[in-house]
Amino acid sequence: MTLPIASGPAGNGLRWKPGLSRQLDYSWYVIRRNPVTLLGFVVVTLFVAVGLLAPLIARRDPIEVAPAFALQSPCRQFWFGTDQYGRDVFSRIVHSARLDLFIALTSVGLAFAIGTAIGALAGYYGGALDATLMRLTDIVLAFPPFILAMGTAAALGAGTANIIYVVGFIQAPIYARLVRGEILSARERPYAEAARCSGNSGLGVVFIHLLPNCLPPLLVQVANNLSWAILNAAGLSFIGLGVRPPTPEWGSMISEGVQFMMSGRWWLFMFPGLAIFVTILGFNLLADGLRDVFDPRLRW
Amino acid sequence: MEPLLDIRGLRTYFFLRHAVVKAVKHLSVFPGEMVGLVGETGSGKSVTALSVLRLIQPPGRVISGEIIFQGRNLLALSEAEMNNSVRGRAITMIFQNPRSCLNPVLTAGTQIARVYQTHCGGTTRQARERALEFLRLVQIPDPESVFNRYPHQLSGGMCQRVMIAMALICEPALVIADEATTGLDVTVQDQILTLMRELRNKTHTAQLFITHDLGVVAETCDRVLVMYSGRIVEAGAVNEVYARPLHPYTSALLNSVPDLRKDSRPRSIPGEVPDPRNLPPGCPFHPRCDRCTDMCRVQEPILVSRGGSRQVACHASVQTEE
Repeated sequence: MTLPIASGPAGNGLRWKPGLSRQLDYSWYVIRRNPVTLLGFVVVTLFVAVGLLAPLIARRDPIEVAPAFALQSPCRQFWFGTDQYGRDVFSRIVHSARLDLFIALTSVGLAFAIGTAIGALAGYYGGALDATLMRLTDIVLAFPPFILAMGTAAALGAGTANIIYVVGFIQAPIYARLVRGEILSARERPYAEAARCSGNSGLGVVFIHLLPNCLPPLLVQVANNLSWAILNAAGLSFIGLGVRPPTPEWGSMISEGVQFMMSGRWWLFMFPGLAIFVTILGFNLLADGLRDVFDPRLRW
Repeated sequence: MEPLLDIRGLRTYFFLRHAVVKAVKHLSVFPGEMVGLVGETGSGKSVTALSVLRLIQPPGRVISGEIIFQGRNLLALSEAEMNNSVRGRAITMIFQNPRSCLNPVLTAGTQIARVYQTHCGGTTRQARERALEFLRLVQIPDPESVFNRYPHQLSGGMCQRVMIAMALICEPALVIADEATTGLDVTVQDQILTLMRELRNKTHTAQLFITHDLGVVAETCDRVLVMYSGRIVEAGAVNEVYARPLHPYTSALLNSVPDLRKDSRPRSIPGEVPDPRNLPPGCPFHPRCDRCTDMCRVQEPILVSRGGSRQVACHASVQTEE
């Protein structure tokens, strides 16, 4: 295995690059080395690009009703066909990508923030605080995640904001668990003691010194959870607990399209289904690759 | 002269499931002095250091005693006061294994600058300038480059210099070096010790050297304290103690160091270090002592002054004098 950069761990002192750019070089190297990771990376990049540029890619209004064009099969004008109200399926899928990207990022961000704070405090302070916080997360983890999501979403009512809260809420305990374990091992390291000796308060030690050292496994988890979040959002929308109807969302598009399955209007559920499949596959492949990037054994 | 740090009757106990491990000590460090604290593994050297910074982790606890530092009893301060004015500010520590004591995700410079900003304030730029100045002070070539490097990109000796820079940047009154040179090879060790001595002469910072290496103490310190089983058994000026040890443990320790000038083999101390959970009655050293008397088996000797700075805790030594 040859590394893209001439210098080893300590550098040969001749070619030394700042940390971030070196880390990026290395990440890019790992992504390139493995074609599967590269595929995941490409899919995710595409998804993010489509999400960000949705109005530019699909110029047709995703919710504009045009009865004259109802239930057209895919053709040159409507690449993915139209639904029973004459809305362009392609445009709806593209705009849905933007919504799903937003839901995935915010809900995982929420889960990350809550879960990390709980896990870090529980792991560092231990004792009664640890016991209380961990039993609370155990309660959440005891339920099958999607059942809990359904129950919570039903209690809160349908709507985009509620999906974000629900998905964030059911994923937070995973981070709490993960972070607690990492902090438990990190707080015994010499640099934690050195940090205490130089006058850091407990919170300072946890959040400035320990947490950044626990990030690598968390980032892999984030990549995985982004795909779960999309799947959960789609699932909730599919059963009618998520995004409200006129707004395009992959899950609700499938559930609407299913009624036309028997009459052979395959494009109504096939394209949103493929969109979910490809996106989630992409995130999962990327997550596997990220594990390699952060694997300490491969690090130098 | 008023001592800078005066530990009086400090008792740090460790409450384990079946026993209580006790460590008791009295010691003082004067301003600008280099004091060596020597003893075997488990004799309580590091516990002393952590007690001073009040960082003893459960099940350990400081039971009683006073730690007077610059006229204040550290044991009576609040946690916030300890963090703001003592830890990292007035008393700093240098550790063994410098590389693992630096945070791996922050650059060396960031860590040094952060200590300065936390305790002495100032802008990021000022902290950076000051950090670079101290990197130069600890004789790091090319400080700008080292400032931006991560600990794993630096050698062990470099990391230790970074640690020293970090320990000195707030101009503390006392630096505690806990086995600061143990993990380094001999040439680097020598460079670091020379550096520490030079820095003492420049900054007049008192240094407490915790080590098991008698050579390090002989080379760097003004005064030495010998610990055994959590107690100080002998104290005095380095040259006096080395030339004429009063406590049998000290002489046994000195005899166990190989001497290149003599042809004799080093002599080991018979027996083992007593289990701290189950110390022998009387003097903890008596089962291994060749000058053991009846009194040693029942009564624990206390540290008594033997003229000048010399102190010893040994019945036999006191009796021979009489």
